[in-house]
Amino acid sequence: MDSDTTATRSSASPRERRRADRRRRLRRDWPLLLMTAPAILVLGAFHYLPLLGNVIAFQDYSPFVGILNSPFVGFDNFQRLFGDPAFWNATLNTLYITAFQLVFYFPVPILLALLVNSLLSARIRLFIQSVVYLPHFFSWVLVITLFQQMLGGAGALNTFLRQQGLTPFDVMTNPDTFVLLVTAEGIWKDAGWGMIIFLAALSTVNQNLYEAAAVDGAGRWRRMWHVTLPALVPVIVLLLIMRLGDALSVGFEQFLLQRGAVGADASEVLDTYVYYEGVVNGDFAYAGAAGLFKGVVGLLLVLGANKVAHLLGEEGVYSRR
Amino acid sequence: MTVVSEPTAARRGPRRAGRAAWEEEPGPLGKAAKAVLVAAIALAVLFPLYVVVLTSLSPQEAITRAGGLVLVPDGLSLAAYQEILSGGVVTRSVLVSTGVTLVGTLFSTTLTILAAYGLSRRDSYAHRPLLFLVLLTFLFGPGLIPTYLTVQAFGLLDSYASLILPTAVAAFNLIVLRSFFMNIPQEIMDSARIDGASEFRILGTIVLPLSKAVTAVIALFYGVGYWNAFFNAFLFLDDNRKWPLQLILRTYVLEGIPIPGAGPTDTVAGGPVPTLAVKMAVVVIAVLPVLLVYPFVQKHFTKGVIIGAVKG
Amino acid sequence: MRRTPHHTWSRRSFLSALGAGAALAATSPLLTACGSRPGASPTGAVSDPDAMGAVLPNHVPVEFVAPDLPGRLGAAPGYLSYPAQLVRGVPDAPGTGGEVTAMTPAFWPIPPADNDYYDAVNERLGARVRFNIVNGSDYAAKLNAMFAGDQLPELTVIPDWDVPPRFGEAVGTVFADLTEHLAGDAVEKYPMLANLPTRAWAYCVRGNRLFGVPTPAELFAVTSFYRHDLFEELGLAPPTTADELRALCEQITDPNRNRWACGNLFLDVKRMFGVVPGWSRESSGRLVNEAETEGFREALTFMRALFADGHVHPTVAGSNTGQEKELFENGSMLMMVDGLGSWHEALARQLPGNPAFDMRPIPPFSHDGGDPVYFTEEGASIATFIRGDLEPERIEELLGILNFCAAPIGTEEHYLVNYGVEGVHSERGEGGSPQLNAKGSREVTFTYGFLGAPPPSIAQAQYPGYVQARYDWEVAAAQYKVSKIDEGLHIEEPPRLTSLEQRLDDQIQDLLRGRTPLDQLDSIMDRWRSDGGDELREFYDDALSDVGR
Repeated sequence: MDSDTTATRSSASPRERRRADRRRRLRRDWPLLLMTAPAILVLGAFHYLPLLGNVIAFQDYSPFVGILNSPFVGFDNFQRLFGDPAFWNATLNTLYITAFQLVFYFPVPILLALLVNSLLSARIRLFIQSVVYLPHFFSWVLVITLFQQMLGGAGALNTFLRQQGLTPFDVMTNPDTFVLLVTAEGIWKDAGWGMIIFLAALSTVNQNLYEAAAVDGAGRWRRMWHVTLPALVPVIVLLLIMRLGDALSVGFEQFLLQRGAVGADASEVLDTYVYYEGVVNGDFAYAGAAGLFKGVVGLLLVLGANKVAHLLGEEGVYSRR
Repeated sequence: MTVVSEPTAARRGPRRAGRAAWEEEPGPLGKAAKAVLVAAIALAVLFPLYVVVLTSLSPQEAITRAGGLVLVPDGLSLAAYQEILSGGVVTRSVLVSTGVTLVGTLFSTTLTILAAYGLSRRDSYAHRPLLFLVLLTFLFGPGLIPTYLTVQAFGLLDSYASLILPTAVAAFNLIVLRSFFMNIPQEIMDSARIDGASEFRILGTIVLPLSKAVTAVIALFYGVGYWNAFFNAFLFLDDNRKWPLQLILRTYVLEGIPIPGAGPTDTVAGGPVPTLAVKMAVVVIAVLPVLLVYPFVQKHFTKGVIIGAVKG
Repeated sequence: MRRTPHHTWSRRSFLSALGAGAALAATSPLLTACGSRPGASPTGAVSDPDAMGAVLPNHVPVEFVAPDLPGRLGAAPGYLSYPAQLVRGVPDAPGTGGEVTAMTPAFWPIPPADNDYYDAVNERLGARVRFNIVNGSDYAAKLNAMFAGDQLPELTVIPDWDVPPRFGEAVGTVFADLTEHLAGDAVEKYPMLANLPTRAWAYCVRGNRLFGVPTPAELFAVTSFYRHDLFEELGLAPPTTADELRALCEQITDPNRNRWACGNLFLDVKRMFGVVPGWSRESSGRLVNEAETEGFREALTFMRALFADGHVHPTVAGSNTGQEKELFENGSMLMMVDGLGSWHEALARQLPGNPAFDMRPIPPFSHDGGDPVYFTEEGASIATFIRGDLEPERIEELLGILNFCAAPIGTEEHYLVNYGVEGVHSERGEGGSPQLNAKGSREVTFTYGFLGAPPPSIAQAQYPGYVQARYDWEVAAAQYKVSKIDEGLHIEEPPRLTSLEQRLDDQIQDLLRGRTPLDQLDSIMDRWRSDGGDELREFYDDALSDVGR
């Protein structure tokens, strides 16, 4: 009896303590919750509510019949998706391009920010800062047209080569170097825009640390390594994780526009696959299933990367308990 | 009370108009390499930009002779800009876009700042599940038709609010802003709390002043998003009078997008209108406001904003 | 510039030229009812031929001004000048003074929402038409959303390529059945609609009922054009056989002079080798897909060689950014496939700066110099649908409005709908041709013109020689016209098989561009057959046999 009560008390008391602790925190933190509420409400109303519509992934959906009345078909759409070798090809292609771009594209905005930041002339720095992001606002049609005009078979480079009696080479139609091409196009279009967030991060570096480091005899590179980079790391890690969450998206129009030139084998990514298999045919349920797949993979990658970040002592997207 | 002191370097006029006293003279080789690199980057951006602007100002004959984009000046013509700006449709849409962008940016940035701060305290109540909810919206997007039905259910079809509310909070921006907030030394905030400052006060007097740069960047992201958005507009608006600029400009560049539904345009108007020039003029018009706004964002990219902040 | 609804086929050609033809083809056939078994008969999509005859409106031609070049063999008539004297074709205002809502796509900048052109037309209509104009590229998405939200206007223009999925299931519940109003001699109440050719109406028959009012299409959509002016300069003549085409390419291509022979001609090369687009029956009666035919193999081999030997302009080969027109017009590419309607648009663009500019369609020819074949398009590819919940009187009023908009050349209504008010929106130019002025170009876009349209005619008399050349080509090609086996049928493929064509097309593109060896064609087709091609064949065979084709 006695022992029983003790056991009850000892097992209840941590729970009670937790509850009490929660109450205490709620009392303390309600202003924070109040601040968070508007954003959560907006997301709830305009994101989560329509997100319920994603149940069409489990339906034989027709817009005329509606979500409520379309018949449920279980995992049929997923079975069709996973049973299609072309789907896996597209997924692998996408992951390959993502991996390639993580290595060769992702660091570029960081390096660009460091370069711009290290410029001594204020005028040149401001000028570079003000123009380098502009290609972000060009459409893919325009970006590819510009690349065509420079590197295409009838472009400036090959016209020059022909005039010199050399053999022209056309990178615009070479499937083997396609990943290089799309990465180069992507860097040219968006690296400058991506730089902006790192510039913001650089602005939070404590200047006194530089001076202190310099006084300690640290050279240019060591200062960058020991002062600048540590300030950037949290942002870099965060953006890296967010990029992983988007790992199955590498762009759409860029690939659609160059599909004929290099062929579907090289240019089929998940988004173009879904487009041709689902969207074009109005097969919303199939496209919905693919969307869910993308989200789940993204979620797993984010959680995994977040865990790795924690192991390395970084904050990541959100902290562990 | 915590005092946030002003950075010394940032207030010294155009900042770092030279080297700091402790900085060493760069070597000639490093200098040259950097100069070449910077010149290459500038050229890679400026030359295409020049081509776009030049083409937008070229008459049809010049475009025909060039067989596309014009690289060498060959006559100038404002026809493309006249074509776009005449008739009042664009003028009206500029007003719509400006209004939506201003209101939307203010609304979104406010909501995002509040939520980013609200979720930034490491041990605060329910912050993990809430943050997870936010993160999920980054990973899972709702479909077009359910979004339409939702906006319809709220009675917002054909309203300007439909251009703002559905995309008012971007998880990416929220998470990035929160991460910056979290990197502010906690001691500053803790001491303010001990001093009895309310959370709103801490946000307004400590966190925001220390996060000017990233807040400006987030506002820029939202602003650019609203300015460039056309998707909400075509989906939710039935009245052409309410169209924002980007949707109007989109009608000028339909040709050449091999996406079903995007037919080649007919000739734009009665005369020999240089269609490629019009397309390039559209690019210029779309970029122009960003060029105008960016310096105000850039202003905050000053170094050392945070120094000397910690004080008990 | 008059905006004819030519984008129907320009888009088709455009996409095909990009190798995205399958994407388009996949959009147009309606999906079958949910969960239909492969090989099952299509559900109510294909009309019984006898029943179809019963729902079709009578054809009662009206002609207000006799054409200089009368339409022959189904080809459009030509007017060497725009009629000077106009007749009032619709004496009474069809509207009853209220507001009419309508939705149309636009492939051009939208007009101001309130303008004098709308006012002028509305006054004659006796109704205020309020247009919801949507960019052509966003139209399908908007339509789908509006269907789901039950937000349709009274009049909805739906182009063939934007027809929502499973339309066949829904058309009867969403849109008004017009059979009672238009079948047989009922149509004679609307003389301008009675003037529309029967093959255009056939497009509007679904499940033996009549839905929508068609915009009649031209007989042919696309063909190969060549630069007549530059050919003459170089002493070249358009080809009459495959060998000549090839030799011509050899003569033209010269990268050092920035000159290439052609764009992607595959669409017309297939025609040259007599390939029937889509499905056709062999002499044995067996149904075959175009890619299974011997002609296709020859066409593929031919076009592949043009790519391999560098005759296709590298910019065309290198991306889908749609620069073919610019390269053709500036003379760096001398032959291209394009829509027939782009012809006079190019003239409008080029003649002011280059009066010698002259492009022509290659005269009808086949690979071996024998009789060529030219496959005709569907009788219509755009239709205006009336919402289903309206009272019969309202439907009649709306049909009256469509009737007004479909008034043919020679009527005041035709001028008003297409060129606005003379003196305000347009002036008469060369050959009496109406030319939109600055105000006209802003306000007069294709809006009412989408709601209803007369049978096509060639009347751009302001370009010297154009009407005659266009007319001559169409009549010449019409001598060899052949209908596709599924013309006028809305066959709905099983959803599972709709993507098959895109995959095949990807592989055909690889063969064309030399990315896979030519001898792979057989194994590609074997795989296509086992992946569902044979099922598709059975499916089409059933659907076509049902209607006796």
